[in-house]
Amino acid sequence: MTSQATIRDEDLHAFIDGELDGQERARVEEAVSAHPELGRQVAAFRADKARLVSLYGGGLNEPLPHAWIARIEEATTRKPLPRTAWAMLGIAASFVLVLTGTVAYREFAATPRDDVVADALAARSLQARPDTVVPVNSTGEARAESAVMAKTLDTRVKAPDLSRMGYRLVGVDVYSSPAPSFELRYVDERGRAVTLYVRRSPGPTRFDILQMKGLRVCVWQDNIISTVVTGAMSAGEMERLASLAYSGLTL
Amino acid sequence: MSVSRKEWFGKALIAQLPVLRRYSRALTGNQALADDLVQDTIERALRQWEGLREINRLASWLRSILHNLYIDEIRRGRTRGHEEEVSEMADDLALSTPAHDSSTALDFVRAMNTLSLEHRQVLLLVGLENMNYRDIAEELGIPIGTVMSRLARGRERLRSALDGERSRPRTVARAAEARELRQ
Repeated sequence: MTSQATIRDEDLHAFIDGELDGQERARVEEAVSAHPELGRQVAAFRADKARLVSLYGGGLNEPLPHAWIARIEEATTRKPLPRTAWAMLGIAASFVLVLTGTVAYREFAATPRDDVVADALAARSLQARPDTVVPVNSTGEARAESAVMAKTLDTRVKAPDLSRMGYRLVGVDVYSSPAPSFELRYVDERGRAVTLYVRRSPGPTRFDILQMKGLRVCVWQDNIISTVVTGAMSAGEMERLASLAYSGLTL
Repeated sequence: MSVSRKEWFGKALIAQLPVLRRYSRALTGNQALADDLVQDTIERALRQWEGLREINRLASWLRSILHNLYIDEIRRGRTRGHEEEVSEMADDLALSTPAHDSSTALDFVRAMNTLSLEHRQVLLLVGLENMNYRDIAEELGIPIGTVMSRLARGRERLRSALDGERSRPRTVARAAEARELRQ
């Protein structure tokens, strides 16, 4: 218990962490203003929290041991098939293509596979009209938008920081159809635009890098969210950017 | 270019490593042990990746693996850093964050070392990982009330330990100064 019997220690810390709702927050705020000792405690705990973040929060740009990356790639990357196996697969595939090509083409034409990609490209090309367009000029604004995104998509997401690759967030467009979604717009100092389209996932896990309409498009989808990153860049650059965006989005 | 689910898991795992390493260092207060734990976490994650149901929970899943491995290390007797390792870690932290000198960093790392694992864990999830109480409760499998009480106790103990550090004779700083003088 704190020195003021009506405010529990737990509530004081929940206040510091922004975890209280309006009424409770107001009650603690009032007590903190009325009792200097409480005010001093809050200031000290806030300072400790800030110190923890500034002291341990760095090091994200430190190079990772090569052995870690090599081990993961070795364990998760598909091994190339031997040459004879490729030849046999090629012969088998040509028969399959001849027999099913027309049917597959018709199926594909009737039901586009990449709805989320089509929606992302429509948002980028401004064919789709957003419900709201929010300019973002500061970190505080980005944080506020992240809270809205998380609430709308009902999962923990936030606007990723892509500054490591030279891109800064300049705006967020909000769409209610065809599904509740967001397009985050980033630009670099040369004015090159990258967009990150986010919505609830409609289906299975997926990671694809495609080239469409002169753009590189990366689709990264899990059971909860679909993300589509678009920009004019190489496949390697897109892979790095998509990794940064995806990890920043969900952390 | 389409990749398999396993390749896709590999890419997501690599993307998580910087954050996992940062958490491991803060949790253990020992850089060498932190890196060993991340490496072991990678191995276990690669063996058990099919058990991960939602990629959105990857960060949480990796932290849980790392945490279990750390508990194993503690049981084996390999715990938090000795004074030399603590100083080394504090020096590195001070170098990477210019706002702190190594004496302040050392006080903080030492004070964190005095906390129980449960307290450090909650403090780091709230402060460093910026998670809300509900998500922490879910990750640790405990009620929100327990998260709140652990946090309150942890912060109070950290504060007391920091007050204690300020009045403690700076033996390590003195030893470092002595080393420098000898050179």
